[in-house]
Amino acid sequence: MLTDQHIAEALSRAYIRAIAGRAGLNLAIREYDYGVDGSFDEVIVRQNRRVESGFSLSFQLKASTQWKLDSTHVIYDLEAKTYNDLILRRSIRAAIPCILILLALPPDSTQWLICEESELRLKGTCYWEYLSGNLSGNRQSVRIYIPRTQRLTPESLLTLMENVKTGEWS
Amino acid sequence: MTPEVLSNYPQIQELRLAEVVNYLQQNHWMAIDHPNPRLFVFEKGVDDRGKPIQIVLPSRDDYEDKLYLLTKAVNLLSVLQSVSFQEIVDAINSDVNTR
Repeated sequence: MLTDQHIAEALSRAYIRAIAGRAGLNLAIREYDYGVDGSFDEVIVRQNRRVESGFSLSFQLKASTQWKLDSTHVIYDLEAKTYNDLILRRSIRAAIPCILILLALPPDSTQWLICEESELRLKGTCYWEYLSGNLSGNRQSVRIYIPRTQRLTPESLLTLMENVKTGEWS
Repeated sequence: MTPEVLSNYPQIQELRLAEVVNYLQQNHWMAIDHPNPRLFVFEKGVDDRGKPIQIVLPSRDDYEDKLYLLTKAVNLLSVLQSVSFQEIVDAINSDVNTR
C-alpha cells in the first residue's frame, strides 16, 4: 500500500495530466527531480504531423492537505528549499519560467477520489503561482499566499503558456 | 516524447548554443526579437494553421534547462526536415567542423 503522500502525488499528476490533455498541451513529467517536476509543451501540426513547438512552461508540483483558505487566498507553508529553488530559478538559473502548482486536497483521504459509474471526481483544486522576490532565510518553510483566482484550469494553463510565448513572463 | 529522446541521444549534451545558432542561421532561420532576454527565438515557415514555426533556445549555455530546449529544437528540426534526430545533431557538428 502506498503512503498517503505518494497517493496524493499520484493524484496530483493525474490532475495536471487531465488539465494538460484538455488544454491540448503535451505533458512531460521528469523521472528525477532536478529542480522541476516537469513541463507543459505546446504542440504544433506541420503537414499533418504533430511535434512540440519551442515553447515550454516548467512546474514544480506539490500535493497537500495542510492548507487554509481566507476570503481571497489559499495559504500554504512551502518548504524553504523549494521556495528558494524557485526564486533562484526565476532570477538566474533557467530560461523557461517555472510555476509552483499546489493540489490542495481535502483532509480526509477517503474523499480524494470518487469513482462512480457516470464520472470520476478528483476532489480538491490545483492552484498555480509564479514566485518572485527575495530568498528566504527560513530553515523549514515559507508561508505563501496564492490568490484563489489562480486555479489551474485548461483555460488558465493556455493563458500561462501565452505569457511564455509573448515574453510577458521572463 | 522529448525525455525519451534526451536519454537516447546523450551526444546532445556536447552541443554548444553558438553551434546550434550558427546552424539555424546557415539554414535561413530568422532570429526575432523576444521580450524575454533568456530566450533566443528563431522563425521559419508556418504550421498547418498558418502560424510561424518558432524554435526556442536559451540565451546562455549555463542555464539549467539548456539541454531540454536544445533537445526540443533538434527534435523539431528533425520532424520539419524529415530526417532523424541523429542526422540533425551530425549536421550541426559538421557545420562546426567545416568552419
